[in-house]
Amino acid sequence: MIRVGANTDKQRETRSVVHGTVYHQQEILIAAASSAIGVPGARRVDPYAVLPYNGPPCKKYMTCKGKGPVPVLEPKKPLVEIRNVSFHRGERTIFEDLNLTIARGKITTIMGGSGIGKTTLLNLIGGRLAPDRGNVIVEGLDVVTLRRHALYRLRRRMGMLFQSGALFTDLSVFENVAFPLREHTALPERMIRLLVLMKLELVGLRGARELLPNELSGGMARRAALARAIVLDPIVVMYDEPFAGLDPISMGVIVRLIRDLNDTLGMTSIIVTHDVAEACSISDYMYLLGDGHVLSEGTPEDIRKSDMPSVRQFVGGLPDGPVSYHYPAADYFEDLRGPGG
Amino acid sequence: MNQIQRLGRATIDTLERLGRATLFLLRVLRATRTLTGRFRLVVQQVYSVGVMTLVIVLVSGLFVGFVLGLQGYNTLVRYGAESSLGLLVALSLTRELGPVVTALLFAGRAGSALAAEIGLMKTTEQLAGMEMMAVDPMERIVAPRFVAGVIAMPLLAAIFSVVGVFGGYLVGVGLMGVDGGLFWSQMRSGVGIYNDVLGGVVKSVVFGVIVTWIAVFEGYDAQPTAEGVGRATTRTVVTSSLAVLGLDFIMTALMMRGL
Repeated sequence: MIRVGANTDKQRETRSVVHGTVYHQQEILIAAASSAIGVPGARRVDPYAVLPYNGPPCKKYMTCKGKGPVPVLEPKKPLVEIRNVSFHRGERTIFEDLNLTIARGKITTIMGGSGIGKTTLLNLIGGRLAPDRGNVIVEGLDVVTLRRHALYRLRRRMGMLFQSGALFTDLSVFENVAFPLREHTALPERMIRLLVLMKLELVGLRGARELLPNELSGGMARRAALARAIVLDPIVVMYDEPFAGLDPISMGVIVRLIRDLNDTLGMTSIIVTHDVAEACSISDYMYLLGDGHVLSEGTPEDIRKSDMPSVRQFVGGLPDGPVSYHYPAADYFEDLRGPGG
Repeated sequence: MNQIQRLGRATIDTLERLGRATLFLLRVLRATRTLTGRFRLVVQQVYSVGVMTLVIVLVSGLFVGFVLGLQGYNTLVRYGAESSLGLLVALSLTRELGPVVTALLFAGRAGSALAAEIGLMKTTEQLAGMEMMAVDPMERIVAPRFVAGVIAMPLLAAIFSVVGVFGGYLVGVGLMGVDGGLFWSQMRSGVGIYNDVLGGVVKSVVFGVIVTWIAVFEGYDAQPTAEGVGRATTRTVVTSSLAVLGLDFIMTALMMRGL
């Protein structure tokens, strides 16, 4: 399962057989480190696939609370499936019979105007919200029906980059990135330091590890949050408006980072955004949402070439089209005249 | 909407909120089970909450003791009972003023800070981020703060009472000329461990639970906006102060019946 690092005689001596698979702690750590920094030929290592989900071996290095269905890697199946999902906020319909799938290992972008429920969709995938109807399948598990422990176990394999970064303001950059490791593993401090520094190096913030979040610029904060989101080597990372409010340089860095991380670490990426140009430059597949369902889907090229008026309006940034620029209101001139005018 | 409808709506809203707060308390209590493995968080919070409130408790305790000494002396001297000043000061502090004033100060200083901190964590998506990292904010954020508040309150009340007695001594003995030996001996013979000191400890624990519960609930339940956090902070101080005063009356009545 893991074949990274030199197989010296000494290492072989200290290996142990667990469930018929030969493991060596050093191997796991080297493999995790190698996959994190993208060593050529290194196989991707998911510590949770190796340790907690196979039963006993998690005792020493990983916390393994609760019982529940175990996610099984099925490479051919989509990672996320949204099936006939309906979701309402009070009287307002956010989604009505929404169907979409997120392919494994790809960057999929969900686009749409402000307030159409893009972030809500991420919250549904992450199990923070429950749909009124329908199923949200992640890694073969229906998030809606999962019990708390099973849901939390699944979330350990998901990363999320919030629009605000959501860094803990009382912790340094280093401690922010180390937080999931400290909470979910019992790795020695030396190993935590190694993993955190590698993730920070990936996002270019190794030198900023002692800074507090209030000392970071918007782009730096988002990169630090990204390092934290990937520190447990998740199978999927969800990005909530990763390009919003960034200067062109920071935006370029983030775009490149998302692509590199996705390809190097073999993750699946879900991006929620309304920045058309950046989304088209980075995505493998795109969905355009509107009126509670999918308006259009396809590769960036398909979206660009679409003849659908709503798609053309969104991609071209046109004020006139199926989506009204103005909030529903009374006649403009009548309104200006006022009552009795 | 007429007055009766408004009253009905307000009553339903209040009951609904009380129900949510009760369910929240049950969740917090359930989450405290996980603190055995992370007691370091509780110690950090006790330190944070305690240090936050310590200075104001020390200063207030001292001045309350001064005033008790002055007022007590002026009243007792009319009846030639100024030797009982130590007893009066100590009973006032251990039974009532220690727990109640400390709880009010605690609500104003630590309670408001707790509500604002948790409310801001919610506003800046830190709690949501924690949830998405498979870390329950109830276990990691709320429960340690709740337990810390319950632990810190009796300690602060005890410090308040001790400093208050010392303040009363300074004024009574140092300024008014009451005999020091009488001051202490009257106190020692008149203050009961169970009826007075323990009663005060029970009160301060109950106040600790109430104030911290209200603070963490208001913070967690706050609207994730600047205005929402501000409102949660204000409501924490107002609600917990009123709750402390109301509960003090009820507990005092119950304790008096038991005497």
